[in-house]
Amino acid sequence: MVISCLPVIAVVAPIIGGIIAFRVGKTSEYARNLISVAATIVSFLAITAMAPAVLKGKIIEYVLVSGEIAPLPINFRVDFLSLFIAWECSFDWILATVYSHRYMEPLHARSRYYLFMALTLSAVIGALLTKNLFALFIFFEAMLLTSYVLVIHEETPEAMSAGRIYLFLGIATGLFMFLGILITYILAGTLDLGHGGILGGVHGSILNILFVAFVVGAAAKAGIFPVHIWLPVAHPIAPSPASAILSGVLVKEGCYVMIRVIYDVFGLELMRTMGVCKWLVLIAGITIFFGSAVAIKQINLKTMLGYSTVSQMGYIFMGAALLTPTALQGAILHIFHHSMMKSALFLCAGAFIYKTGIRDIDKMAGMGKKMPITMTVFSIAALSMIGVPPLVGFMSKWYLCLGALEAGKLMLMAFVAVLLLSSLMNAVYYMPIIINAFFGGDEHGKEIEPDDVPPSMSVPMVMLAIGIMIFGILVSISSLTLVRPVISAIFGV
Amino acid sequence: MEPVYSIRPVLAIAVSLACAFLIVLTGEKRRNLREFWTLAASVLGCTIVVSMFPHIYHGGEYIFTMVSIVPGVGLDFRVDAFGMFFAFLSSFLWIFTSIYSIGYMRALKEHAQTRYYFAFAACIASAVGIAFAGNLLTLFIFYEMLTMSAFPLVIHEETPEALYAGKKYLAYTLSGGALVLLGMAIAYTLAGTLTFTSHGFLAGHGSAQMLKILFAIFIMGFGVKAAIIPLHSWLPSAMVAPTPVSALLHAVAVVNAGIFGIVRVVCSVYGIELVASLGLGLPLAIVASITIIVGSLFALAQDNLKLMLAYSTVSQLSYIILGAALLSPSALSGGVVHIAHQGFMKITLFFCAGAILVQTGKRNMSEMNGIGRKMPLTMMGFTMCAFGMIGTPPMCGFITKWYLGLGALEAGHPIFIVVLLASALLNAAYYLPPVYNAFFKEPDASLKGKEASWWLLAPILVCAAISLMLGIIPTTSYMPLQLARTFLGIGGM
Repeated sequence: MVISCLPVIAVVAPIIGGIIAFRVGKTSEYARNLISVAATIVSFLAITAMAPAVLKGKIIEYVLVSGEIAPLPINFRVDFLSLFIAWECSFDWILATVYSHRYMEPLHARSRYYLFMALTLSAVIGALLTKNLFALFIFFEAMLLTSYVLVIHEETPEAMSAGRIYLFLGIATGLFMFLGILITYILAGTLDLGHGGILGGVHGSILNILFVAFVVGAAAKAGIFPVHIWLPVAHPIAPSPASAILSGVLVKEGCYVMIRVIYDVFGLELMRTMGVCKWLVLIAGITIFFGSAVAIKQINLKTMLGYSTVSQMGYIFMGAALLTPTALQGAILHIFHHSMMKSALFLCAGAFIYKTGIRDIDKMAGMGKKMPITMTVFSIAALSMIGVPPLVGFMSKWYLCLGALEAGKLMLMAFVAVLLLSSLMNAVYYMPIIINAFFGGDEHGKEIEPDDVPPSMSVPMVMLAIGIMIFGILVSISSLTLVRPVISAIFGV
Repeated sequence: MEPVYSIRPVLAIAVSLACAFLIVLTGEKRRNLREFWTLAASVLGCTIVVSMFPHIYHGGEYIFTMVSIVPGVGLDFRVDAFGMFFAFLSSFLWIFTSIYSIGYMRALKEHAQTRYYFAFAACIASAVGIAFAGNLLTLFIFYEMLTMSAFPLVIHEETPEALYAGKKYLAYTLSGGALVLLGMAIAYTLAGTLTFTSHGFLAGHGSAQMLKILFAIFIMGFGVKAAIIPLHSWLPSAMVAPTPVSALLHAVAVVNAGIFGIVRVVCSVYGIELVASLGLGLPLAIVASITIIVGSLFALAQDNLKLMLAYSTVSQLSYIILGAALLSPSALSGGVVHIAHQGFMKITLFFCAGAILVQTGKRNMSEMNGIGRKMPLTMMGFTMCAFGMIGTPPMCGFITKWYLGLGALEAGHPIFIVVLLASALLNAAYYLPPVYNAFFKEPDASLKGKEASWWLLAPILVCAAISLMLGIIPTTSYMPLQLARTFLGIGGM
């Protein structure tokens, strides 16, 4: 174990940077944007700086507020899982913030936007790096409130109503989670994570209730059916870079909590004896199918991407709930992979809006000739979503399939079928966009000059696209060096 | 013989891929340079493949390993006689198709030629990748890349008809790919490896029931590209593509990728002994026989020359499957060698159809009376290969039928000789009328045109000559038949 204040820097830097940026924003827009980007980079570097120690197998801890002041200590604990996800999240955040520079220009309340982007980052990183459920819950709720401001940024009636659903559903399901945490504390006497199950000695049906409470809390954050209803309204309504991090990063918090609850609160043994995970797998399967099926019917590109997220979160929940090493590996990889893919897709959707104002899929014919870079990035990300090898989407799907088969139950074969069916459904809604964009006529947008987005928008998109290709081919790097240790710690293999 | 570690298989793929990108960078404005890249890469790629020939021919192997993807399975390349066979065929015929394409595309003033040549090079890279894949996962990666890179070629015309054909193509091939993925995941779960071995890796794993289901999954998955009836319907639709595409991809590379997959499953995944002991050969042979007969019946009903050739392809491909399904050495060598024989003959026939289209604008056979007097050399090539398809000596089609017939007897199922004979009769029924009409009927007044340019004519004549040569000296060293026997380990050195 290593004591280090790096986690605190990673969490606090965006807060300070955000506030400074907000003040500076009154005088200089440019300086504000620079400071915002700098704050996210500092956070990213702080997380990266923790990597060497964690990669050596050490765990970084730091007590921020001791138990004597608060009811429970607020402390940090960084292991492989949290570091991996936090690293990915903060990197995505840099890209989205750089992208915002030009995208937000025509929009109002820009200083507020940057402030809350930074605050949300802080909450996201905090939730990932904390040691106990109590602190995690605090960051979780903070994340809900700060991201609410991003959702309602447009302040149109639709945005306000989307924000209402987001907020109310978030708070209501947050209460379930709070209940769960409370019961856990009473039963186990501790809320610390990283011990592989703190509820070991507990029996009885209270465990089932507890599990349901946690699932409701986590599933609502991740957008799992049937508590997904906020996601397809809230994600598309936000400004596109915010949608990218909402859909690419924030929903992953729900998945992260689910993984922590299953493996660190209940523990593998207890989960196996309780046998409730099969229900979770079922819900995940329904979510996968439902999300893809509804996405097919969407007209608005960003709404379609929102439903696609719902479906993809089902993949991750399924991987977490199958309780096999390979499936969990697939789930964690998919957290990483999906955040690249979906961020890229939302940034592309934003590029279309920025350049042409087009939001509807059927108006995007011929776009590939007008905005070749954007459309190429979109195609790569979409093909990856469909699961075309050797892109990242295929790799996580492959691990998930193996994981489902590894469980060795015939029932789970059905879920492999769901997985494959869903990737075909992805093809049904992604392929027409690509085909029309590159091969269709130019009926729409004749007046638009063939001109792509400025570099500050295209570079983040292209970087994500390169990541999608590189991490697909070199999946062994992320899967062996970063995810494998998590798996071996949990399953002992 | 010890396998030799060599980068040459990867180089052969990389040459085509690099060529694809050079084509895009060069663009329409410097089209002569662009076509130079295609020709240079096709010759260079073929040279690299040929350089591996002697070692392979004497029973050696080349291997090359890249990154690993799951434990025990990575991006591995392994060149054996069968892979050599397919890679050589694809890259060798690419040279002729490139020459032909230049003549064809320029004569018809086709649009989007850069995209066309780019996709073509990507297809060849994928086909060679399939051929040299050392395990099922690598094969699958290139298989799906082939699906994707062939798509722009199918919808090249961008007419509603072409777009519909493209949709159908994707629906069929992606579903097939999903099945292969499922089968692959099951195979990996059963055996813990996916590396091809000369006697199969599945022996001793899983129950007989499971292996039978798995076999069906694989056959259905690969059967889509191999155009087994009733999974064939994308192939006739895809004939809207430009003729060189139909010639190389829809008669040789893409469809043979499916065949290649099936033969790999039979020989290198299951192993001939296991397939025989599970009793899977006979059902597959029956499916193949039905496809042979029904495909020919469909062909009989066509007036459009390219459609007739497409149905003939459907029928002829199943000769290869029949050869693999009979599981006797002669049948297998007959089947494997038919990959090359069918390829050379069918590409000639398609080239002729394209030349007629370019010179006269005619697509239907009923309008081609007397064409033999206008285009004697083209129709000479057509006639030779038409006789080859029927199986008349000394064309190479006869050699195939001879070995398949022998194999049917060896396997103790003489009934399949009846299938072969019936198919020969049907082939005669649809190939002879156009030949007869071309030479012995008076041309219509509307039929104008003369012999095509040498860009088109040379590939026709060379491929026809090779088809004849393969029929005359099949047992000479280095001929496909001997290579096929090397692969099957039945001598030939």
